[in-house]
Amino acid sequence: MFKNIQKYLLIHQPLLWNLKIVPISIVLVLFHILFFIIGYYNGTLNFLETERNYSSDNESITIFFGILSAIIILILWLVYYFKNNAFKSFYPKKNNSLFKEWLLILVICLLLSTFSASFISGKNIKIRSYFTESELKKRCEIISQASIFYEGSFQEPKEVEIKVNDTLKSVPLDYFVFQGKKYELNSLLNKNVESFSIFNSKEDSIRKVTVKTWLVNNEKNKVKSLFSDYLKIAKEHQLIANVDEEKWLALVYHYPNFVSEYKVATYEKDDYSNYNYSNNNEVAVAAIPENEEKFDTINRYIKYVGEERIVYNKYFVPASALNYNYSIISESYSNPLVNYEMLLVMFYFALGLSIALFSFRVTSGKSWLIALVSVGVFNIVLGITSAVASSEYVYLIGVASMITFVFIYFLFVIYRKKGKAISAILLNVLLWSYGAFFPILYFLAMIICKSLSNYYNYNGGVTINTEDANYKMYRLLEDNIEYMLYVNLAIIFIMMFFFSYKIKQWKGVAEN
Amino acid sequence: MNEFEKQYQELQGFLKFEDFSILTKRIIDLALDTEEIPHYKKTLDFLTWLDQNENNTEAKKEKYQTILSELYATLSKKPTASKQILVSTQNLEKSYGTSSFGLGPITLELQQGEILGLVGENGNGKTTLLRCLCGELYATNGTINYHFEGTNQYDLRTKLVYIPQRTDTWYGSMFENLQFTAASYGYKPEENELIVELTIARLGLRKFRNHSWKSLSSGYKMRFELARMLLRKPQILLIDEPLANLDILAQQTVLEDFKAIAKSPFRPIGIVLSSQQLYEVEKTSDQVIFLKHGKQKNLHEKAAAENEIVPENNLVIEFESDWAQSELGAIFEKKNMLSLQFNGGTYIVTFPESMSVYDFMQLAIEQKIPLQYFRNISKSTRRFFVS
Repeated sequence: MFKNIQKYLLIHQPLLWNLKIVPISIVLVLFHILFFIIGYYNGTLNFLETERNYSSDNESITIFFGILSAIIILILWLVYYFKNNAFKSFYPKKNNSLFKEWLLILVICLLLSTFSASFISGKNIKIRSYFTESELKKRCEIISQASIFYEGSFQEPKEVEIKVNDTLKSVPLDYFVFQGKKYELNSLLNKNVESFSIFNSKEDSIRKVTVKTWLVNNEKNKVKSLFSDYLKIAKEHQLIANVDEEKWLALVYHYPNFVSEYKVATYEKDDYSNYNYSNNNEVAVAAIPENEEKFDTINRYIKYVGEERIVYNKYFVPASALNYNYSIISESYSNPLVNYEMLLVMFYFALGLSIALFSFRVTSGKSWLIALVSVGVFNIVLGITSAVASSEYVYLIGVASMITFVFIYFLFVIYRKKGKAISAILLNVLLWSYGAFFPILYFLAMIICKSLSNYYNYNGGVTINTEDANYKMYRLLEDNIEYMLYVNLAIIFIMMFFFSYKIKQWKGVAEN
Repeated sequence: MNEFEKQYQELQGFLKFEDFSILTKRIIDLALDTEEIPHYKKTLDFLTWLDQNENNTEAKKEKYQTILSELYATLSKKPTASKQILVSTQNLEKSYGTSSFGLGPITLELQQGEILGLVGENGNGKTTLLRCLCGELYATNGTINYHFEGTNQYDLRTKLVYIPQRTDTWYGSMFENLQFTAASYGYKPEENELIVELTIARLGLRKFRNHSWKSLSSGYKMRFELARMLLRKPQILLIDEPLANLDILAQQTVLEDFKAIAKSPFRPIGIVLSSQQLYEVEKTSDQVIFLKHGKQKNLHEKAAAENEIVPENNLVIEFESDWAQSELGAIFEKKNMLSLQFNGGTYIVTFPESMSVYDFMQLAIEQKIPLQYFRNISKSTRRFFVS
């Protein structure tokens, strides 16, 4: 089939034949599907896993193999692509033909550079497939509400300033106030709640207040119902709790102060490999007999096996596992790894690669290599100069000037008709660097505005005037870097259209 | 009788004397001249039939006659091309910075259907002149005028096909490479394969279509380059030392091919070729420019007078003999010999205008001068090499 398609393209669309666009696209799409499937498979959650015992995932290995396969495919494709070069042989070309060729190279480079995106998308889609967003929110709401009732951190006490020996000293209060009433710091009303990224901070606050209001109002049934829902979720994931809603309620629900020495842990047991585990919060049931290998506390059994110390929780719900897995699902909605920023980075990478290949194609391997060395040397010299000058302007102005010079020289070579001279080398440099011209101007404008707005004197006591036009401009530029990069993409495309037209003219110029 | 009619009569002569090899090539040329797919197909069918009926002379003659008649019927209605000037140079000069070598001034004019031979020793500017004419080098002084359309320098250079002495390696199948060239030069998809088939058949490359570049001899590599060149529809073909790697038979074949291609009545092109093979080039070329230290010396009359070394109408004979220079000199002096040079195994003797080649032959017979060979080089650039 490939052969017939290639045969057809050879006589109908020689450029597409030369680019081997059909075979390479099919291979790349198959690889994307493969990486998507691997990602999808990789996205399967093991609900028994927690922060403590998660098995190392093979994401980085897969991404490494993705990069490796992309490099191998790129090399193989280039071997075939470089077999023919109509432009180098002065075969007839339309004015937009080179631009078209570059666009096609870009498409191939994009497909080559985004294996990891397919992998991550596959993974994300699988993770999202567990629950719809509304179902997830409902479940996270229950898990978060229930988190007040199992072992976890308390809010920090407020501090007051008191005068001790004529000096003011901050002293933490040993109570806190909720709805006008004082509570002990270890009251459930002072508990932090588990938060999920799918919620915003406002939703978190409302939830916290809702549950605590149940407690203040002694709405025991609501809490019991919450426990019941929570344990139902745990059961659904085959997770074990050794308390039911009644027991749980009995252990922690102590109206009106909600202080209990019993704690419902978030996991069944934990292993420690040394004796330095802190027992500060443990209250022993009986005196610890010397040389005894196990002892009992209100909330835990602690057992020593050789160097190992195993802590069994007397009462637990599978909160660690639920929190861990629901956080992952929550992240898949709120903060997917394949996002616009990531795609923008990948697009710029593919753009750079396509331009590097295109410049090699329209000039020669020799001039491409000389350009590479020249750019390296130029950057080292400029880097040293800016380090010596201790100015961030030197490097940016140096690169911008170089791009301007190379651009003018390139046009000059075309119009003077005296031979190409070193323009093949400089054409490579120009193509590689022109995409940086607008961002450089942008950053120059940004640091100039920053400098004019007294930003650098801020620490020296000069106050920033936030109404200052320069400061406003600086903030505007800083906040819109991403948009600048999108605009720059448009500039790169427009300029490439212009260059591809000019490169054809340049090719016609004699060699000497 | 127009050019086509003349060529057709010539082809009838080939048929009469059963010179099938050259006839086949010329039939392919005619088929390509028609620019019609049915003729391409018929000719290819005919070639396939020929492969299977190598020894059936009578049937072959009949088939040849049939296809010739069909081609004649089509082409006799087609207008022949009028010869246009393709390129002219006026005092073209090229120097290389600090190098002492300088080419020119060169003044020349090339028309469609003409072959211009460049001869001269190594390092005398042949390649430089070819590179100037193909747009690869700019002239330091003087002008080059192309008399055909080219919207820009790139487009112009697509019509000036230059084949350097050392050609680039082809990668992949030879046939696909040629199809790629044909497609790039705008041949329609339905005619692409037919034209490539005919072109490789024209250059005797059918057996090598699937060979790799590395497995080809240099002679066949040159033929593939020529096949590609034919597909590029050049206005001017510029070839550097095309005969350098060819055996004597292949040299004659390639030169004959050049002649046929250049002088197509319907699609004539101009050819400029450089070579060391003086006699072969002189036989084929319409103009010969001899370059010595970059300076132009013309063999024929077309060039400007100031560059011309006007043949002095002396009789110049190159010959090889076992006799010593003194023995020969004694005999030739009686016939008012102007000079006698011994030049690496051969003698060059110059007589005044009054002496003819017949007088020289008569003298050799009378004096029983042992001659291995002799050649009248009075009108050959060979004189420039020895002078």
